[in-house]
Amino acid sequence: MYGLFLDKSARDSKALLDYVSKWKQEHRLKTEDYFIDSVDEITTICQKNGKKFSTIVAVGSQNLFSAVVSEARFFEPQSVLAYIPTSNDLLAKRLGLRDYKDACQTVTQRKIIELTALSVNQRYFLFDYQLKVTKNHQGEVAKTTIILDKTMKIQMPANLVVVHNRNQELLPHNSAILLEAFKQATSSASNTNLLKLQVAKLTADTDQQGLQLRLPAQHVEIESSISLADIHDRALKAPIKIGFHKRVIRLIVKRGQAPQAIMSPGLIS
Amino acid sequence: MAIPFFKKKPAELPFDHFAEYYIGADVVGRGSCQTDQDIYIDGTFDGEIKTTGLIELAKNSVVTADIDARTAIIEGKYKGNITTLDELHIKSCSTVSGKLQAPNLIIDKGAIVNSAIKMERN
Repeated sequence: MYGLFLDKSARDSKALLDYVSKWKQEHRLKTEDYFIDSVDEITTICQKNGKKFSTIVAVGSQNLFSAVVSEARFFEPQSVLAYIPTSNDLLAKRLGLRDYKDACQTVTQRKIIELTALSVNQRYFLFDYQLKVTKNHQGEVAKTTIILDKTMKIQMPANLVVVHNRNQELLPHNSAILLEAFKQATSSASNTNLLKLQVAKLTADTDQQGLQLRLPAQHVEIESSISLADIHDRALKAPIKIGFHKRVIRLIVKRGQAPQAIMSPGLIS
Repeated sequence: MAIPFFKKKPAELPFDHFAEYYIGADVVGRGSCQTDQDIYIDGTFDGEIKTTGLIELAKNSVVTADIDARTAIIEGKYKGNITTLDELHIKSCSTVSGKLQAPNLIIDKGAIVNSAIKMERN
């Protein structure tokens, strides 16, 4: 059984819906389709039905895909994740997908790779996990305390903390996590992502892109005097602990896509 | 998921931005660190640092730490015992106190150094 999650960008594209419908018929795929408006719906659906899906397909934006991955605890270990993009975003490039038509063919070809996901408060992430440290959507910069491997304590003004997963087995790194913190201005026009969630648009305020800190670590704790939220605006209770809670995610990628291109966005032009 | 880090072409970013360990000007840190990677500090740090790579204490840095490194470049305020395997370069605007040990030492004109210096070559 396929579980298809479709966000607003997918719903708004008649051409995509028609193509996906035709593709399902052509390959006689048994699916359950869910039209998603908020990340909470994804949690509810995955909790209730996650175990019955052999293949989970996110149709829409990469935010939808990361929201689906974050609920991986509800899926069977042998289940497979796939992505049908509505735009040529970074995730589509990582997976080697040109467009939704190409992505549909890729799903049926079923070239599967295994990646290791890490967790933050039971929610998993494959590539990176962004934490917003803000009082409000204006993106006011707050004092953040980060404890790395229990040996180093760092204090700084930062409103965006990005945790990169470098534990995907194929990369020649020793560290599970590379942590970066930024102090950035927010643009006055905050955008709305395709799951209808408010995400402050962060823009760099200096030539140095607002980078405050970059450190590798095995274990990270993040504390803030004010609120912490993830990229989907789900509030997180401080202190946030990021460590070695691994899970293998089976992911469908384009045949011939180099593993390095999937792991390292820096290699993608 | 897309992060706004590489909006500029990487070539336009200063080299220090690619150091594995980067501590920026507004950062206050303390503790210990042991690595084989290069370290760049432009903030405040108290503690102990060991690296088999290069350490650069940039001009805004205020560092009180014992440091073991292959090569060190000091441009800010430093207090502590520093030992390098290769070279220690103290730049003109720096203020340094403590014990310095390096086989090769460069002190630029204008640097303030109140230190015991030991130079040995194997």
